[in-house]
Amino acid sequence: MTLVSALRAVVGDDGLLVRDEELYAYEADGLTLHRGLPAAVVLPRDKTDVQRLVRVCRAHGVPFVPRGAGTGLSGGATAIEGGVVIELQRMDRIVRVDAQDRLAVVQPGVVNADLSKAVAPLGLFYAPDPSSQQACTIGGNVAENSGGPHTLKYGTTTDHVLGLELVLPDGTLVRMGSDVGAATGYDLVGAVVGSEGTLGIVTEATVRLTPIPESVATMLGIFDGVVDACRAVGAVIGGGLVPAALEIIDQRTINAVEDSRYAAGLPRDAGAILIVEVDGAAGSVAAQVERIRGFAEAAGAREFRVAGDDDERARFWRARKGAFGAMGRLAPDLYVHDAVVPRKKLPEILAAVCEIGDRHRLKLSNVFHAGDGNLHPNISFDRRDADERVRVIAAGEEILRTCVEAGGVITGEHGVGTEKRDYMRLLFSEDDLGAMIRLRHAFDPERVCNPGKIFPATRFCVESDPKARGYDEVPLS
Amino acid sequence: MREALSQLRRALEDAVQEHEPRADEGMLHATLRPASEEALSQALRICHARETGLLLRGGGTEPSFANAPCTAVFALETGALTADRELDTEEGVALLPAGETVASVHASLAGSGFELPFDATGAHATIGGVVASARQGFRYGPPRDAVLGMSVVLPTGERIRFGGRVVKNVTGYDLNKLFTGSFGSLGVITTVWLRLRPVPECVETHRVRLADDGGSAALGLARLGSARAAVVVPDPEGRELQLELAGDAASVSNDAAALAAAGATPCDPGGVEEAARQRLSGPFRVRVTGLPSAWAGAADILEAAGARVLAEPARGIVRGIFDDGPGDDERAIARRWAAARAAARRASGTYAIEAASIDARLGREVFGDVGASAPLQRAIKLQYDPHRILNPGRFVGNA
Repeated sequence: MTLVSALRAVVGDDGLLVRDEELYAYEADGLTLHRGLPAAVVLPRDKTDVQRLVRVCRAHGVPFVPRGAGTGLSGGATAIEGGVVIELQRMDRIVRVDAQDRLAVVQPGVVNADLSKAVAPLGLFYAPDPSSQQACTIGGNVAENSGGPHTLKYGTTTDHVLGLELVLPDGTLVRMGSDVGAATGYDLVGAVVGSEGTLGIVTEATVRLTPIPESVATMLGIFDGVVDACRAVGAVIGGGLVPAALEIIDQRTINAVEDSRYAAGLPRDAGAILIVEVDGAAGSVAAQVERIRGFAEAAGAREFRVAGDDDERARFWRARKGAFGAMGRLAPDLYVHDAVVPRKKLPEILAAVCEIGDRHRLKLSNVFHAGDGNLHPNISFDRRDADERVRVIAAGEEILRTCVEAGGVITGEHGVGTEKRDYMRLLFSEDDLGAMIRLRHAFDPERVCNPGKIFPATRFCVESDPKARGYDEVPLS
Repeated sequence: MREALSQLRRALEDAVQEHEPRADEGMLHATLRPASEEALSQALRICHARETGLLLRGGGTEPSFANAPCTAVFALETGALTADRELDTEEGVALLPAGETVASVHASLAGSGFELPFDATGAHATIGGVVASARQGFRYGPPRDAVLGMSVVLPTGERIRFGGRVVKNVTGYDLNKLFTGSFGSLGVITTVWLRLRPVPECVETHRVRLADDGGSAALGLARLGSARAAVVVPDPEGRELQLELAGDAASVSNDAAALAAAGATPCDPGGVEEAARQRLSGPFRVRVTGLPSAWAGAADILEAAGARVLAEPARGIVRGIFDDGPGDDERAIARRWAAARAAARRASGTYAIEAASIDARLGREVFGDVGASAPLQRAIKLQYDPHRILNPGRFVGNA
């Protein structure tokens, strides 16, 4: 039996995509710089389908790549070595909600925002809120350990996953963690969350739900420059406050947003806007707002606004979360970078990042999770322009090196994927990487599950094949 | 063993010391006390090459929370690993050596505006020990929430680092999670990057007696936003909930009003410390972690088996403390194990035996039921420690 007919036997004709025009939709995720065409895409309906598909792939000696909504930004869901993409969006059921114990059991294809919507009548929400939350799935969030603006107070996905059901790369189904999060033995859930789909395929997740806070206030601090806004961030953190969110958008982003459907009446001449959100008991929120106003004004805010109602709050957040979409107006392609630095280094690093963008003659804008020190320098470009593409890659590498030299890391929430695998050595020694590969071997000794991700290409001979890297026209280093 | 000891003495010199026998450790022939990662790496390479087992020891706070028997030949103490320390109170993070005591870090941070989110249970508890055993007190959440990075020496001698000082990081696999709570079975932690917490503006303690059917009422109070610690303790007339509220003044005052409406009264601080002291008392101790809504059911089962109960309703953790050891009475031991299992089942959770004599532990799994992940757990152990030299026999599945 051929691979395609074996796959068809599992998912039927309506769960199998093999025509070129269908497959091109899966040749990249949100990182369009790296591409890889799969041999087939399959859409399983349940965990048994997933197990059978994995076994078919193994029997035919082809790798497989789990994929959620494909909104990832590091190439994690791209079939860089070919093989079969196992797309999980049809497994989109909220299996169970336990309001009393504040948990939900969901299939991997449940859309992030849909879960919060479903449990809102119970006074609960699902806290991780990546900017793509209207489209991205819980399974993808687990694979990438997704964050979002509210990570500062509520943590990333790893803090909200209690248990997982996983199809291992040999087709075995295993449960790890539990409804209460407690594990017996090694913290396998902690190891799998953020493993970028390289240790198995999540078929069910038990996640923690969080009570909707009694009161929320969202503020804008309007600054003439991004450095002053960063100083305000340092003052808030150093002052012992833990806001729910602490975000900065720079002038280029402000203008892109104001030109788009996400316009929120932001002042176009502002150098930077600091968005702060606090939540909790009403009295506590009021006190925090006043303290933050003081910090912002001391750092040089020329204006401080507090959202007057829920509509205005929603408008502020639509502007923030729509920023990436708004940048689509600036150029055909967008390279959303992701790095983290110690918060106190933000002013100097931002200055360096802007200088790098200018020097490479690129349209670079910043919208980022300042409270976490998580930068997102965004480069708007046209990938059909080979020269510009080279400059984009070169600037990206320089930005990463600058962040690492400042004590930072190369990704805070997008993952390594194919995008940054060759930069892993900026942070890790061969022994460090070897320790990670030991974990990989315990789960996937034959390296069939989402190969070509995380580890530098030269770790494995197949990954040193430039054609398999998908960016052969643009040397990375 | 003698050849291994000679080689270790040559390599480590003064760091090889006479072994002082301690309860629950079995027969050990020497204590290795390396003061640097380099010395530790050398020791591990020698022991790995000679397939010589090591019993890891931090502060020795909970020596009998382990399977038995341990087949180690030497003890390996981490108390001398005290280099590399940085308290960054501007950033709210700290790099701490594994051998430093939790109490000493608390003292160092006094007045800084930040605190270490580890409970100082036991005067000798070390940073490395708390992280390796994922020991959780009453005030703070599990250590995994605070760990940002660490340095580890693997049983094969490699010195590795992962994570770091930044508070958000998805660069590569999250080995922090794998090593936290691995009870020293995968590698020896030498330093840890931790996220500190701002010192709360206001702290108040309150107590409230619980009605016989007060399970859900206690859970509601324990879930108040500023309730940093909420422990149900035995009371002459039943059970009492002790709460420590911590946060900004408005939040604490808001929650104090809710407590007063539920009949709570302010009380002297110290109740939580006393509960923490009790948590480490008693020769036989059980911990059940289950659904918060089922905490009272689990507590009833442990009480019926003769235990004093300390419960944290909001976290679903119920501890049963038996004031007497069952000795070698096999039926008594089996009854206690059965009670732990039954309580875990009632709460849809897991159980662990945090303390018991070697006799009581022999042939039993103190970490509870591993389930279908057992082959994966074994595979992980063998990847990192192929000769099973670290804490042999002590972790899950006698790994």
